[in-house]
Amino acid sequence: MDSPLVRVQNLSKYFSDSTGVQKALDGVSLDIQRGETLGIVGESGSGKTTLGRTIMRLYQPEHGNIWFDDKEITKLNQKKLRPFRREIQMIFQNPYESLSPRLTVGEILEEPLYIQKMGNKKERMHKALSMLEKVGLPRTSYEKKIHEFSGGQRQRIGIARALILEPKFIIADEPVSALDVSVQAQVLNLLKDLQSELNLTYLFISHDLSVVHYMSDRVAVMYLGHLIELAPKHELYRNPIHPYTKSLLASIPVANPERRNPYREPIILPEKPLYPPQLVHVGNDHYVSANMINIKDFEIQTNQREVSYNY
Amino acid sequence: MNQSILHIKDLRVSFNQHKDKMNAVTDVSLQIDKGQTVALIGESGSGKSITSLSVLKLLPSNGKIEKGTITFNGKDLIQQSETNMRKIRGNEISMIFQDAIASLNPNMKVGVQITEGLKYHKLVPKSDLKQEALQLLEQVGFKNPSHVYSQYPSQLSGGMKQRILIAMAISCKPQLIIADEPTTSLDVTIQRQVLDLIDQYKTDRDASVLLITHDFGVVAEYADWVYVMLGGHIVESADVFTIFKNPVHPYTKALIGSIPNPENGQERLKSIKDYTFENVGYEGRRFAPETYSYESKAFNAPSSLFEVEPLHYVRFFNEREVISLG
Repeated sequence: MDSPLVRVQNLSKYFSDSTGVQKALDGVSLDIQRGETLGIVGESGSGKTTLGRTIMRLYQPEHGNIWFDDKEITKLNQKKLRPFRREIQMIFQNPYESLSPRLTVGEILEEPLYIQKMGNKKERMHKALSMLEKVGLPRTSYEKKIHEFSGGQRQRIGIARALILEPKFIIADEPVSALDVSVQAQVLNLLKDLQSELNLTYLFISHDLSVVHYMSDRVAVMYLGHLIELAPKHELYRNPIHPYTKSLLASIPVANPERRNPYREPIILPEKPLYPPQLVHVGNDHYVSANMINIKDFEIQTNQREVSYNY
Repeated sequence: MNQSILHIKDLRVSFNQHKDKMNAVTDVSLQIDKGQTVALIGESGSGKSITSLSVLKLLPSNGKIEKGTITFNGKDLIQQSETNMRKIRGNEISMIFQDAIASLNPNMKVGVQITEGLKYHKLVPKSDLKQEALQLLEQVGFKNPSHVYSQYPSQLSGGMKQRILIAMAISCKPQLIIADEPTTSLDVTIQRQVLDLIDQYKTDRDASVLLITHDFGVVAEYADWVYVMLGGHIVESADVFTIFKNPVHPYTKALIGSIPNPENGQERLKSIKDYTFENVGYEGRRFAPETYSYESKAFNAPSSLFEVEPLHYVRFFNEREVISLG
């Protein structure tokens, strides 16, 4: 088996504000295999965005290490990071805010090439045009500015910009949250097509569990800065173990009125664990955060797994 | 026997923009019975929010109700004076807006804000307002009402603020709650709490809910009756089971097909482009213009609702054929 494309070990990122230190990311370890999509779910404040940004080295972690393509990038300075920036790109949530309103689409797409000193003017233009085609926009978009496009088209431009440097790894942070459902479907399908065409690896961050299920091979659940459960998607959705994961899955509205979600009892959120959480392997590539005391409880629950999750 | 509480008939709302007039809502009819949750679903720009704002006559100043009637408990709201509307708003019909942050006054303790409606409509004596507020806070799930009472909105999370709005909306015990995308910016766990609260109130008081949303998952969980809006028109309406089992309009099909649903393990999501908009069954009647576009002028073409099965209506775009059907 190949080495993972991204390896994160014991990664922590703290932010301090007037109320003290917030541990946005607290000892997270995971691998992302080449060509897979790893989905990250969790509610606001769970640290999923911080994880993505720390892997990209937009934030400097307090502890821990990040390897990309077998090279450690945790401590590299900006200059040494530059070649890696080409390999790791990000798609942002809000295409209304992440793209400059003053530049033409051509300029937006060529900017990364220019910064990385790739190609001459003509080659850059050629590249930008072919990228537009790839994401399903007409070549005439090249001359236009962002305000002339709809939300879905803007996100296509955001995707084109992320892909123009031919990266290996894409961090997509809530890429469809700002879009209408039918447009959302188009963008998700585009991301899937591009992944198989360009052999990309995705870290797909979303609060929408249905979208994550559609996109991902494996899914990681985050809560209060911790990684609390990680499993292949079918395993996770069929057999959630951690109480928080269970409550998350129970909250998904099911688009089928004949099977209204039976989980109407109040949702119990676990308190922040006092012990240093540790991922325990419970079989089927399924990891859950636990200590040795409550893993016994988890095992009992695992044996009662038919409890009406029909995913 | 079902009793209609709100009946919108042939509502048309237009907006003036740069000397142009455009219809945001065209010939919308909709009915809500006592004890029902009715969902109005559509994408941005479909006219669903404008429809709901018309009910409370809270349209922006460049918007105008051109025609139609809005009957609430036997009164036509369109004919009511502003003074009368003020008696109705919050008291008999209340609204929960999408953006909880923008709907709360940042300079006012939330406990005091909750009871503003009660104070305005003089429903309880002043001395009882605080007691009432504490009860409401408890009702919407705050474990420590007296603490929350004296907090300011900025000290609360998004989900808590949305619950404050619900407390405000139910304070006067209205017969109808209009919830305009009440959970769009919330996490799933909080979304469920918020929708359950609204649902609970509805059941307890036999009230009605007009739920405006773009999420078919939410519709499936909470609605009894569904109206699908597109380009200012109702294009399909039926009870919730029929809509999911037998959607007829290609737009409804597209919306349902574009939701990722972990249950059916689809390999690929359908998107609007995968559906054709002409000549889809029903004896060659057209559903909508060939090219699908929100702003399409052709939406102003004569069109009519057609009952494809009992109480299941779908809009077709060719008057002559419908008339010939008789």
